[in-house]
Amino acid sequence: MPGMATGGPPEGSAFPLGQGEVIELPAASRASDIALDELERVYAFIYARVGNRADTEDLTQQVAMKAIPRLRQGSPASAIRGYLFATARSVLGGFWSTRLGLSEAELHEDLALAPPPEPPSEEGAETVQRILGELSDNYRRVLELRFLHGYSLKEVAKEMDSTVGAVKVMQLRALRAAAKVRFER
Amino acid sequence: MNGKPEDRVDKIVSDLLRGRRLKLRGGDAEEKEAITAAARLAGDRAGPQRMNPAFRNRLAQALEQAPQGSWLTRRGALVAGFGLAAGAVSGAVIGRAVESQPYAVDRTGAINPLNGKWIDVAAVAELVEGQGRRVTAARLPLSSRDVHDGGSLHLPHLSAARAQPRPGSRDAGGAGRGARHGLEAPAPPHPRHL
Repeated sequence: MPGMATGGPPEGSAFPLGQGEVIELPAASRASDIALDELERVYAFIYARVGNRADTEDLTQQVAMKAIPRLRQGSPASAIRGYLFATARSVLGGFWSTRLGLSEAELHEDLALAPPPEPPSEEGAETVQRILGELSDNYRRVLELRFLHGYSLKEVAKEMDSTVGAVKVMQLRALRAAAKVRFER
Repeated sequence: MNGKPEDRVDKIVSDLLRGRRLKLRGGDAEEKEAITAAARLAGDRAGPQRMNPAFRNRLAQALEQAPQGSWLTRRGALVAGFGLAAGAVSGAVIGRAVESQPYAVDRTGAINPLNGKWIDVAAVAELVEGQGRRVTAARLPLSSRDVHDGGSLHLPHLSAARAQPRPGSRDAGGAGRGARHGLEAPAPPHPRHL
């Protein structure tokens, strides 16, 4: 991580503690360094909303290309973060709008506009558990098996002693219900 | 939504669980909440994600290539955008100007069509210098462009043209009508009006 000063020589170093050279790494004061670190958070923010790496990389790159020319040297990290996340929300809005063929006004605000948690969340799996915990047993079970255990529909059907067709319908209803839980929060 | 919504949503879920891109259709908007919930469950299930090192390096390079000091201002970006647009237009014009010509001019200045043939369109006596004339022909070798039926051909250096009848032509040796068959040097510039 740029900007972190060395805390001393590593074990086995030729310079025993107290006698070695102190190397001071350059501070991450440049806007580009700060932006790169902040883009990691933007990446996680976007990934949590689109659920796949390829789209996340495309969108993160869009954010960088849009926002970086507007950043100024000497800007505080908070300003850079705010600008990057504002850009990320705009890019996400455009993504869903384009993919679904809807105007951004028609999109539910939570699709893209919910502000990112501060500090950035480390609770993705917990969020899933919280949402699933609010669903009925059948809905929770089908989503747990599909999303957390990676079961196929056939495996879910076998596990739940049901049919593939019935599981598909249940999965759709469970996702609709999950959307309400999340959006109502 | 085409087909049953549960089938379509399951296809999207399956793609997400395989790490594939979201491939949505216009009709999927009817299930936008289920689809976005699926995307978020897929995104959240593994916790916060970090960039792939190769992708991070690409971004870092892009950041390094950005002008240091005072980065581009909004005005600068706007000017750069206009510059790109102007460059594109210039490129199109230059590209058209340098595109391969469909005729060659030999040492005597005679025009030899490479991908076409001469077609009688008028006698020299019928042509007026500096004026356009409507001709009926599929292609003329005087320009890199096609001249379609009804096109107007402008010959600004007609005074320099003289008859060059084909050997054996019934017009050989005669003035006027022989100009139907060919024009001699100087090579005409590209017609201005097509």
